Amino acid sequence: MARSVEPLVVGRVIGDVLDMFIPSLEFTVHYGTKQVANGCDIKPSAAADKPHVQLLGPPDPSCLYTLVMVDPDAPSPSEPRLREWLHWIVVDIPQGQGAARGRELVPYMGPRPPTGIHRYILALFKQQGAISEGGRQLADARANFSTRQFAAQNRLGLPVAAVYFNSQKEPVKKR
Amino acid sequence: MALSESESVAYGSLKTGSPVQVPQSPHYEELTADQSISSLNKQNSIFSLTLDEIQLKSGKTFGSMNMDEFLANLWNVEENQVPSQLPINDKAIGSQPNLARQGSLSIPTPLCKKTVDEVWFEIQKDLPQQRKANDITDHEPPQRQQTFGEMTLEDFLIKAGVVQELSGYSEHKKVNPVQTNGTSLDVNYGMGHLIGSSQQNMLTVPIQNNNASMDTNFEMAHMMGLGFPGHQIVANNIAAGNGYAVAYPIFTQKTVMGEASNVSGEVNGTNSLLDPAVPKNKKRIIDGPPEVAVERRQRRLIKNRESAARSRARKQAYTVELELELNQLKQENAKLKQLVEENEQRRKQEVLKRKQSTPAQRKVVDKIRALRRTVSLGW
Repeated sequence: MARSVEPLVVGRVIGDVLDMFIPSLEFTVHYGTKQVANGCDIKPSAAADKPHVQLLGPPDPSCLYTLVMVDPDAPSPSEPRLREWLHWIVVDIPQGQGAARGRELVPYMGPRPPTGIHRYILALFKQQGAISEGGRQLADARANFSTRQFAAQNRLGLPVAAVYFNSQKEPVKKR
Repeated sequence: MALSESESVAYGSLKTGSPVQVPQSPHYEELTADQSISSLNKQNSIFSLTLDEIQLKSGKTFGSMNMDEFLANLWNVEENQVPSQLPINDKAIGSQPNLARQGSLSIPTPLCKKTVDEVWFEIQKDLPQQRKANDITDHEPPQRQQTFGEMTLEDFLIKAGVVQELSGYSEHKKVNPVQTNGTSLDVNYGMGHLIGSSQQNMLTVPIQNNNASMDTNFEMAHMMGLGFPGHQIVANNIAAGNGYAVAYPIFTQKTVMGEASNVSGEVNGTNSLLDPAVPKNKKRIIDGPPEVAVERRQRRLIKNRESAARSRARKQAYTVELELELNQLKQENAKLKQLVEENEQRRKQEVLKRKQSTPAQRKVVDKIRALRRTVSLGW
């Protein structure tokens, strides 16, 4: 059964970025061997490359999903002027498959938190149809993205699943 | 009854000219262009009543009531009064309760929370300012009534900021004045609150005036330093009196209390401070370091608090997540263990059966198994 959304609520993911939803699907996100659990810490260096995203459940090519990754704490959690910063959009992911089987609308950009501890949210939506093009525009202007608006524009509705992790700037070690 | 409305109408025409004067009831007749003029005459009665009389009529003491309770009582008193007094068409009367309620709704929230006593205190403080530039004594201005009981209702309400000016009535009233008044009273509240608490008896006038005047002056001088962002000051007497003290927008109660505590602690000391400061009261606006530093500290505190809250939320979110995962894993573990158990049981059953069966039956079973094996090895 799908996990509770409580961590998302406590971490203010539901509220700042997403609306309250009931998870209907499970998916896993792996950066290398490390699996992302809500609120876990992942170094920017570890998340530089796109993660392995796997949708669980029976394979169904007719059900397509969209994955959106945003950072609501850009440039700083105390002053998120650029909320939300768009990191990644993958569309047309068939059910039961990985994100690699989808189409990258906005290329992956790893976390680069300049100040403070940022949350990075990966939200999965079920598609009703095709997603409107505009990837290039989105890629150029990653700042002040609105997941809610994007979902509304593309008739995605509420998310079916979401996970988030924390990341902060790594101290530069001079040896 | 349009208590506040008619009052403001009354004062509106008066106030623009004279910043300091208290409108007395005769001024009402000057009003024009207002529907409730006819009702004003009727209002006259309650407005020109002194608070003492109102207290008598209602049979209660207003001193420690909150402002909104006070106003509620006023409506009651007035309602009782009205029918007996003037011949006014029923329409006017009928419309008044609505107006009155509107009026009461426009009381700034900070004002509502104060008791009548506190508002009175602030009024007290205002008085000396308007009177004189240099001379700060507890000299009693002839026009003003010093005691709470003796002040007329109209004066009290104006000074309290419940009633506001109104030329351009509808626009001004709701927006700016409410803010400024609320602000000023916020500021004063801090002061008044402390002073009031140290001196409970409202009616010992001389002592209070002393403190009030000195505190007011100190506060005025202090307020000068806060910067004066040019708020629109609409309320008449209050504007004139502590207009400069009014406008500081972000000055929190806490800080004011801090300042005020200095004041009450050093009542004598401030005396000398005040004299040189007082003459410049009305002109000087200082944006000096102390106030800015305070503000900066406030901001930093708030930022820090938010950061701490975020940190706690983060920690809690992760904890919740781990707990959920833990539960899930435990359940899975339990299920798997159970499965293993069941499998074990089945195996045991099989073995038992085999032992129980006769050698002949065993042969048969083995043969079948072998055949099966052969088949499976087919290719």
